[in-house]
Amino acid sequence: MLVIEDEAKVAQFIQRGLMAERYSVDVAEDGRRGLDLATSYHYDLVILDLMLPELDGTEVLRRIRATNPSVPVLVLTARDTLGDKISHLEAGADDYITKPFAFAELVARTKALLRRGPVNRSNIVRIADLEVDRLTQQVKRGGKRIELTSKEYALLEYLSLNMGRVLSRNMILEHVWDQSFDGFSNIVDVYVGHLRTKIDDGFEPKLLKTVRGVGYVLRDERNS
Amino acid sequence: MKVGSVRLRVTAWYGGMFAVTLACLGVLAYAGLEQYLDRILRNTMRYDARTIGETILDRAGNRPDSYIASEINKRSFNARFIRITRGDGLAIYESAPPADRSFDPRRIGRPPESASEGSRDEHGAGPRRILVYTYPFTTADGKPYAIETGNTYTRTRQTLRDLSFMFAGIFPLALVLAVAGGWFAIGRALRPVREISRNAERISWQKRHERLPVPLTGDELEQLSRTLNSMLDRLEDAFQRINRFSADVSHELRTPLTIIRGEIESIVRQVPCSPQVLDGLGSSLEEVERLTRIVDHLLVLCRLDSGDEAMPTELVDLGQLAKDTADQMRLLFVEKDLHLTLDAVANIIVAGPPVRLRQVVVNLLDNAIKYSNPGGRIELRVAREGELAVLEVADNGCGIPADHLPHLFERFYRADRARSRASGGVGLGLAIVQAIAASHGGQVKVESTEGSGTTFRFEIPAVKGAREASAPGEESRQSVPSAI
Repeated sequence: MLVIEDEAKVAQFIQRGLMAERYSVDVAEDGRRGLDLATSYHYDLVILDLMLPELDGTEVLRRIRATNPSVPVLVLTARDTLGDKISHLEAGADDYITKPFAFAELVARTKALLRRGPVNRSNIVRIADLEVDRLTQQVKRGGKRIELTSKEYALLEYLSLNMGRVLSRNMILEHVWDQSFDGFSNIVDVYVGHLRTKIDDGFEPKLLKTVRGVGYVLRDERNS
Repeated sequence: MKVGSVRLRVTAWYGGMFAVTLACLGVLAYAGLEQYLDRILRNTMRYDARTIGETILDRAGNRPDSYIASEINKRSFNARFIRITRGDGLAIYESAPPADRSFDPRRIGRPPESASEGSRDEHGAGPRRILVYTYPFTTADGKPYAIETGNTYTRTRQTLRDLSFMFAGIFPLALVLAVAGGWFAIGRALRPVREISRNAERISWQKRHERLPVPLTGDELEQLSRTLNSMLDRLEDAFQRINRFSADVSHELRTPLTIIRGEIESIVRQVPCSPQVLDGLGSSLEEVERLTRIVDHLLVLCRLDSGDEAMPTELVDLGQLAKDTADQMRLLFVEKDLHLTLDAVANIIVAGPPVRLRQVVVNLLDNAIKYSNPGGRIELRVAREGELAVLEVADNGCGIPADHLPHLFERFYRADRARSRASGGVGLGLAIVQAIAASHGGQVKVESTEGSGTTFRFEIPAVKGAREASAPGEESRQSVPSAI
């Protein structure tokens, strides 16, 4: 995949992080070079910063789309107004992510675009002895039924579908609530705390883990 | 109003000046007329004396004095006192006392020895002064006489009194008219000033692009309008520069924040670290997240302030939105054992971005939760008051000291630093609520009694005609006073 990003340090950690996820990554540091690469080689994904020297990101996006309508483009933007976002999507971006972002979010979106993520399309998700039935919205642990409110269920479903991956507070907020809840309250922590009481109390192993400063993950430590 | 007092002051000055002018005019006119009348009286007396000398004494020759008396009595003179004294000092004629006895001719003093021509005032035993004119006359045959003619000032006095009465009648009337006219005229002159100040008051942050209308009159008022407008230009410019600066700073901070966050995360993910190191890195990430939040919220504020936030606007049922939002925060109330009651009138429609309106509910509830004691009550009310849609959040918590209230909506202002920092606030929540209200042309108010609770009141214009759109039966109050 190709990362077009003029901030060397940002490009560097994206490259390092994605390579750790076993992707091969090229980096272009200005728009013109990025466009050359994007049009000369076949990439599975282009990660494009919008603020670029030489050639503006929006223009790069337009030109990539002119020659190659099918390559997925993930836009990195510091402009986070909804208006901007919509205009990028209209201009042919497949998804956007706002700086500063959690790396987990970048990976999640990347995988979604590549359709290579752990796409769990079965109706029942199992982690150790935890069962989440997505059809009936019922949750069992060790065969015992656990009653969850709808928010708790939505939270658990989101965590279980991304099993093993650390999800940032922001990602959880945007998926389970929406951006109006952003930031002021410790709402995610409170809900995760309650969810943990319900699914982990009295059971072993503990599944719902906190990765301090990064987020939460649903993971069976014995398997990983 | 200040303009009123300027009007009063100017009118008072004007009235005062006018009264002084009238008084001076009156005094001058009185004195002038008095002098004039005196001169006329003196001239008349002189004329009478000369007539007596030339028509009677000259022709008398050697006839007896009785001839002179009879000649004088035959004619009528203006003078009411006539005395003719011969060169040897003997009075050969003296008029009889007047019918009204206003003076006694015999008591009027002798003419001065020098007998030069001139007038003097005498009293003649009466209450009034008498003007006596002495006219030395030498007949054609060389006999010297002193002719004295005199009259009281009665008619002069009368005329002057008439004048005084006239003045006393006219002056107050003129003064009243002048003051009334002045009051009116100054009011007219100040009306554009009132207009200007009314217009200037209307220009708020939201309407900062508006300017005062400039009357093309070429006078001071045009000047004033232009001056105010250029001041508004400079103010707007300054505000915009501050706003742009905040936006730029927030924006510029994003790239370094992205890098810090990315680098730390990649260490946490890829490098095996001791628990202490992990803890330290986690703590750094938490702070990065908080900084990110501050930057995000500042940017939201800047956008709301500059009015260029491109958020899609929808028609929203405020009560429903409040209920849904509160539902989504349910556990936050449970966590602190708080009892939330919702009292929402159905079908209060407002126009706005749902994300921002939800943010208002979230921020106000969040604030109420922070300042409530465990076991407390929070009330969320949505109602329509006239043209306004009103959303109220009331708690029965510790309240806010009165001296904090005016600053509550300022950025980064914290009534209780320790408490709000511990609960993860960044001090921008209420500022954002206010900015959202302002961007809707509404406002936020707060009332608080220390020790018994705080009420925040968010008011924005409701969409007109929304009621007609609903089925008539749905008017009834859909009150949901249950804990949710």
